[in-house]
Amino acid sequence: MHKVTHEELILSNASLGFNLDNLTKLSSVDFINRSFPGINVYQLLKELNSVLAPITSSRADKIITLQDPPPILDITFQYIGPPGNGKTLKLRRTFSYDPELIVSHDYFYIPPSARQKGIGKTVLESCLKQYENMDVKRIKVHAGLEDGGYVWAKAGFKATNYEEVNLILEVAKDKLKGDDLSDVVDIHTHYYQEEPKGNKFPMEQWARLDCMKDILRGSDWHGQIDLTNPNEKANFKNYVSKRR
Amino acid sequence: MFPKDVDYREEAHIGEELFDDLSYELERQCMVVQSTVEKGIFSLERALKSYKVQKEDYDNFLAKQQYEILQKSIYGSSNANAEDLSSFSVLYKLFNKLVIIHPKNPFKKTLNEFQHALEKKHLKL
Repeated sequence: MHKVTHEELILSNASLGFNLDNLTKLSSVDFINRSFPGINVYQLLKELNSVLAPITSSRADKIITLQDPPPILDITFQYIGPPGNGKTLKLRRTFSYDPELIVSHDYFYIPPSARQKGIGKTVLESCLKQYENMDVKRIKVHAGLEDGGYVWAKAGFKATNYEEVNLILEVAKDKLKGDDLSDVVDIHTHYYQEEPKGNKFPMEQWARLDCMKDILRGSDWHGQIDLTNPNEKANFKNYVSKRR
Repeated sequence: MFPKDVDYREEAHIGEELFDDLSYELERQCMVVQSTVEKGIFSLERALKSYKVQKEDYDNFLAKQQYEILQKSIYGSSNANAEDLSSFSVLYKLFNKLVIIHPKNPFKKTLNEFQHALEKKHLKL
């Protein structure tokens, strides 16, 4: 298992430009190794920097924040350009405990000119590698805005909030009819009969119905991938892996 | 530390990069068909129709899945190459396990004749 060293943190600052904001009572090295064992911070930051730095026109804000209690490790990489310059870039990952180790995909936005070039996939793959090193149990996401509600459903994230799923169902009831509506209702009914108030609603079963595409595009929900579930982990890994 | 930013999320354009492999997308579509059928939500016919999957594509998906299961059961987690797996001896062993040992084996006579013929030519299964 990798142990973070003082030299690595110095390099993260000196060669990659990441500032460390330590709000804990421990040294950064001790805190990271105690609360987030296994992470190779320098490797992760180096990989993020190699793909994200070239697409910002100016110096980005790069910050690692450590907090305790409760233990939180926050990695932020962002550049906010003048309005309309099309250079804004934002990435944030937050590690915490709930009660097991989880990572929150708070946000990830790249400028239009840098999209569809594999940058998103590369970053997700680098992150996943560290989640495996750290034995992260769940990846959490807040799906919404633009088409996020549809895309993250299709990528296999499960919805955790019963009320949010019900809201989407109500929209579907307004907009769909016949067999399309029956499909949507049957998936919902089956899951919540088996798991009343369950927190792993299989959004992908909805997302892969053509009739749900537009409805999910306008939706807003919280989701997660359970990395302790071999199928969920393998499916997500297949998506972000370039070796496929 | 930055405050949580409500104007940004894990954006859709990041996820869209994941869907560029059409063959994997078809596989995922088939996986959803399989899960809804296995869980008893839909009949196979309805699932294929609802998810717009051709029966032939679904059969190919199942065949690939079975192939991977067989590969793992024979070779464990190590990577076996396709030539090894499709070699005659492996197929013979599978056939033997599935059919020959069955008490009502309808192929017993044929197989005995086949083995006999091979032995005459000094070949062995």
